[in-house]
Amino acid sequence: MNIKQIWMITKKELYYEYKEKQNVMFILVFALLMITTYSFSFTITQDLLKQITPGFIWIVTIFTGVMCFERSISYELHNDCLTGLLVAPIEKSAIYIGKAIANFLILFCTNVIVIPLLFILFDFRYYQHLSLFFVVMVVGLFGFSIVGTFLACISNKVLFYILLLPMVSPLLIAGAQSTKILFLTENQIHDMFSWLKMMIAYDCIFFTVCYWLIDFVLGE
Amino acid sequence: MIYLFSAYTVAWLIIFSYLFLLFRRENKIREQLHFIEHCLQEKKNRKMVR
Amino acid sequence: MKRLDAILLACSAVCMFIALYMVFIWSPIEVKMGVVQKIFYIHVSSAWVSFLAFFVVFICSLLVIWKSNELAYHIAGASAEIGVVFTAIVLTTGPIWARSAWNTWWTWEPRLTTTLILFFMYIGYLLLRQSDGERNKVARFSSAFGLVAFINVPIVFMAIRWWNSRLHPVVFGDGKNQKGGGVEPEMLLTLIVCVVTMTFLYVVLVRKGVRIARMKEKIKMYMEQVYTHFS
Repeated sequence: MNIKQIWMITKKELYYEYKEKQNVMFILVFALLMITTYSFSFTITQDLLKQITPGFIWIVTIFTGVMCFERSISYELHNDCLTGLLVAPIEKSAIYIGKAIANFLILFCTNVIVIPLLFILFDFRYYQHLSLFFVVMVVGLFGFSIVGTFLACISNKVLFYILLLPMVSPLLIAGAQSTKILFLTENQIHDMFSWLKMMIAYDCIFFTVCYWLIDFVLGE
Repeated sequence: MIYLFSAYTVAWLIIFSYLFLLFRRENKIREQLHFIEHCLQEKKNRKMVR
Repeated sequence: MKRLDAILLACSAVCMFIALYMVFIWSPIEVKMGVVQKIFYIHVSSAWVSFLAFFVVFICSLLVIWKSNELAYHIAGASAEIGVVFTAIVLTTGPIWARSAWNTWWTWEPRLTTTLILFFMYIGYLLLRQSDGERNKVARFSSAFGLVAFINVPIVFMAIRWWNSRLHPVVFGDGKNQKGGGVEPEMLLTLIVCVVTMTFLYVVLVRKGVRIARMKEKIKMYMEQVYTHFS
């Protein structure tokens, strides 16, 4: 693992996002539209809201994430940029990890904007355990970016959705459950930690496996 | 009883339709293969005659 | 080669008849659930075959990654297809049984849900194999996915188990095979015969699938020859 190369790739990705501001805009608008559509399709009472908000945060994350990952590989296909990257004198795993970290950062930034907006729009009041919620979000997003970026490398546009959703289902369950515990039943905070541990285990396992496989996947 | 019947029917239907599909696919491909091999052979023969 | 296939096919046919006889006539009728319990035999044996098939996919994917073995790639494809077919059987016979035993078509119980996710993942795997692109590339991608998908299975199972046990207590004993007071020896024997039959069937089907895949490969090769000849 070469930290310098990884950082270079991450910087390149972020610079691209900075130049092409429309991508982040797409993701943000899409997330907001999802929130709006969501409130149209259910008659939301305060009670129901409390029950479904934790899950909804993760649904928004997943769908915005799908857009983000898919694009991070597909825009490399223009002008054969991917080939250029692959023949460049850097490790193949550095490309993958760099991209995964960039995706993680982008997703994180959009979530930082979207989740408070969601709270405001739904008038959802929540102040305790914000730091724990932060940790859950970071761990979940990290695992999500790792698996998502890997699957984006191995599949095409349409297939990506079908491959990704079953693959991240444990993460989704764990994330939604731990968020629910944080928001609703604070007395069960002990359970939250076991969910969190499970998410960390998921992150570690898939990070190792994907890191090990990526040379094979991208190599000729 | 009806449940038992329907369960086994569904299971056998799935198995046999899969078998059927597999056999059909095999025959189709075999035909194709024979055809191509035949064409190639004929070509070779013609070359030899010349 | 041909002869082995014939023998295997005959074996599985004979076993099939024995299994049918044992399931419907020989084995005792279960006291609590009645005849419906007989669904259990085909359900469990096809579940066994599908898990075996997916395990084979995993091993073959490893072989492809490690040794870039051509045969392993074909076996993985055939095996995944059979696995999906048998998972479909599990997922249809399961609810039918559940309907009569627990009076509901579906519960989000760990095993059921894991099987469902397994089903989706391997359909994805098959689609990935069929996606267009350079042959080597597709082989690499799908093998990588075959590996990752298999690793995901126990994690999914664990996650769903925790998720559900938090929500409601375990109602059905320690699993859905709980039949009230242990397994009768006759039932166990019948189950074993069923499993053996299905395994035979699996071997026959895999061999057939591999043969088809090889023929396809050959056709492609010839096509390329013809193409280079004309261009």
